[in-house]
Amino acid sequence: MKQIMVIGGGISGLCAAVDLARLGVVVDLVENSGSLGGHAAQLSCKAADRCVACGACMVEEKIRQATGDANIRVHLNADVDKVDRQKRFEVTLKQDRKMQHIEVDAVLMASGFAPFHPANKPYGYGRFENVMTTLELDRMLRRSGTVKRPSDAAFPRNMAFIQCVGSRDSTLGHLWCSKICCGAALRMARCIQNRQPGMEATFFYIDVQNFGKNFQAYYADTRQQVRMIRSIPADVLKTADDRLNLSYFDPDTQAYQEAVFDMVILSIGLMPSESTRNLAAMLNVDMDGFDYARKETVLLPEGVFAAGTVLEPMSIAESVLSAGKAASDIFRYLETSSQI
Amino acid sequence: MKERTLLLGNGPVAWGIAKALLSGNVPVVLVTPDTATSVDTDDPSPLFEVRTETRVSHCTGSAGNFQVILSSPHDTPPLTFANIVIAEDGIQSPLFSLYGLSASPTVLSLSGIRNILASPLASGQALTPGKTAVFIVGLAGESYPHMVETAMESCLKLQKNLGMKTIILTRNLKVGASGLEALYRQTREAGVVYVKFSDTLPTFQQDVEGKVNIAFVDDITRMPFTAEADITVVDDAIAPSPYLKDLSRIFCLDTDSVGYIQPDNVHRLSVFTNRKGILAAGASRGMLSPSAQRAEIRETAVTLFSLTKGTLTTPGNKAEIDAGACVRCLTCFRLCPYHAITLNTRPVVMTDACERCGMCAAECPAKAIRIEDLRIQAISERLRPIPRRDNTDSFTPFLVAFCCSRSAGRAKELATLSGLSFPERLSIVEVPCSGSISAEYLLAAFQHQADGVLVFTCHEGNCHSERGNILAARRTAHLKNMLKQIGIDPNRLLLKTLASNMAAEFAETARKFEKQMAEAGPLGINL
Repeated sequence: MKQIMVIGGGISGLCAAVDLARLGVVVDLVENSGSLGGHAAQLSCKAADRCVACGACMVEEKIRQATGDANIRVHLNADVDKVDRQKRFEVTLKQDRKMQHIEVDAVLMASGFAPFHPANKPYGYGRFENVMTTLELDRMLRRSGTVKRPSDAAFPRNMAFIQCVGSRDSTLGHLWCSKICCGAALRMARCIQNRQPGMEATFFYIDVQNFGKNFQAYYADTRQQVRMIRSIPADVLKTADDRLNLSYFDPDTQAYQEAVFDMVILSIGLMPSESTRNLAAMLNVDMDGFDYARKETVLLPEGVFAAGTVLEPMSIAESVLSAGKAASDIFRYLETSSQI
Repeated sequence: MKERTLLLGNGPVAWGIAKALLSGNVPVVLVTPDTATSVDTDDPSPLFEVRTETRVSHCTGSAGNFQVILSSPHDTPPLTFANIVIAEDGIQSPLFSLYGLSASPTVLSLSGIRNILASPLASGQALTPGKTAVFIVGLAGESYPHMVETAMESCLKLQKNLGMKTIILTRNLKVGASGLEALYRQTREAGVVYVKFSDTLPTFQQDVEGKVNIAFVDDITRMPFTAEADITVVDDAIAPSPYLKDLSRIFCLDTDSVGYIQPDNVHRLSVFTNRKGILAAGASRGMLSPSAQRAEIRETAVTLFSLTKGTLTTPGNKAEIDAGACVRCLTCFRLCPYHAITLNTRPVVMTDACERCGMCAAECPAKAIRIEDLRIQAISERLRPIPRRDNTDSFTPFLVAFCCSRSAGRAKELATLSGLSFPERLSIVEVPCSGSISAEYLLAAFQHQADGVLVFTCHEGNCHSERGNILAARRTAHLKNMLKQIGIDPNRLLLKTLASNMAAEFAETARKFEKQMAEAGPLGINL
């Protein structure tokens, strides 16, 4: 019986585990938090009057499939502590200060991304309560179904969505587009407009990236609902009446303009995570391979595979595909290595 | 050879899938209308067969046993296949006419310039130092990252190797793919000029010598500019193969609004279609980047191995048609979203393909179809009223909620885990798809003394059975009308769309409804 370890219980890890388990492979699914689902399980449904195919709901079904599969053993609150590479991988898992040794034939890195922390950006994050990240807004929508200002629990009359916070940023050395933020922000803006009619949304951007199968039509329609300003704001300041004053260079008037919003949402970028760095060291993988700015595919040692946002920014749909590819590669590896 | 796969296509994705399947010892017959294969076929594998100049003309049966008639110069009897993979390439065509341009030695397509630059002798009278090349990318419609990549790489070569000036005209620069933002910075440093348009668009005038005069208002300075292009490069439109139209008809497959064989439904990710045993990959299921198409090859292989192992078969009771009661109206045949009903002398359910959505049973006018655990008797048994607590005088309504197990069922579970509170007397009936919730179910709930009935369906576009939610909504509306006519407040029946991650909305809808029904008072009518 072939056995593999999937490190990371987010959407990619879940999908790969389910795919492999279906093919008769025994999977140890290792997740360092207390629950499966990763970032995807924190996202809300963004359907307005109909489904916008964001894919967030898929994770619930994948969790159900993974936990119900006899070939998958889930290890929650578990960290990979050590990896010894003999003929197989001897992995030491640390779980509640207990150590456990598991031998596997292959390892899948599906440890995901780290969200960019925007504290050093001039947008008042961490200082002004009503400045939130897209991830926080997603969690709020998921938790309560509506959006209220954290400072006074009032429904916002208008919201600004600032793109590329921590992405496409040469001063940070982040020479990558995080790919999913345009879709996440615009879908959320329209979802909120649908649930809280009258909410005016303004979208500050550099270039709108494609998302979803139906992008052309959705984007054309969105331009009628959301005010699009091709400019990245300079700063955000709090007004005396607890609103947020945002200054930006306005391409229409060729001048710096100010606008006041009830809430400001920062589309924070995706970054390679620290846990990936640790994991890469243990697996003898060159961390440069996980630099999001690169173009080349990651070179991995024999028996080590990677899927999902550990590789580069990806949507949920792309993570599912990435996981399927990895599962297929692993399956082929297990078949060929067993013949030797 | 029952386990063999029919593979349709002749491009890199189809050939990649063929190789992947053969390496897993799955026999493959690759079929293409093209006169020649795009790759040399010296594969001696006895598992592999290629048929050129051949189209599919008819298909019956279901997963594991498709009977396919191929039309080719030679007449062939129907062949049996376990599974079918559609991996036809897309069509790429330059958008010259959309910009008022026509192809010439100096007005090229994006693929044209790429081919020229790929050859070592990439020069010519126009490709000389000092000349200007203008790239039009994503002005007619939004572009795609891999096209932007081709444009940027071409510009880099023209600037660096040939000393030319290059300008890229675009609306939204699509840098959402591996390495593109870094490539963009590189091109900027090399001197490539980008002009982006938000509200206005440039105009193009092509003269007899092939030069193109471009006039535009710059987005940043709002000043009018003109430019003269010695070389003009126009991007391509990408469209599905016209053959997909035939294939979707022959195999009864849902398509999206553009014509790709896969509706915009997350349940079909990555390579599933509405039919078990038929997969769509690469440019047959959507507009995918070349790297996604490569990933698709492996994904298709792994999905097919699972299909072959039978681990993708939906467990549980399947639809059964009572031959004596069936009046052959063909409602079920027309309705089944999975095309799991075939016509013999009468409709027959292909059990393996049935997904238990229950739409056929709910809609059959002769009530000739049943799914054992979804029979009205079985549902009624799950409707036992929850008794009131003795120590309260106030009225607590008894509520029944019919939930699609894929969406509301999971939302309910999540709400329970999150510690959200529900109405005290709420009876939940999970069904595989809201398409099975018949008027009979709803009436049965009222008969079992429900004061109010909730119907939870998936959002439009998110139903695994495509139309189950729409049918449920239609039936609910119809029954509300009926209730009104017999003097019952139609608000006692409520339909709500929900996703599996909407735990808060599930709990809140139920609580609100409880409050509303408490105010309305007991129904007090025995239907």
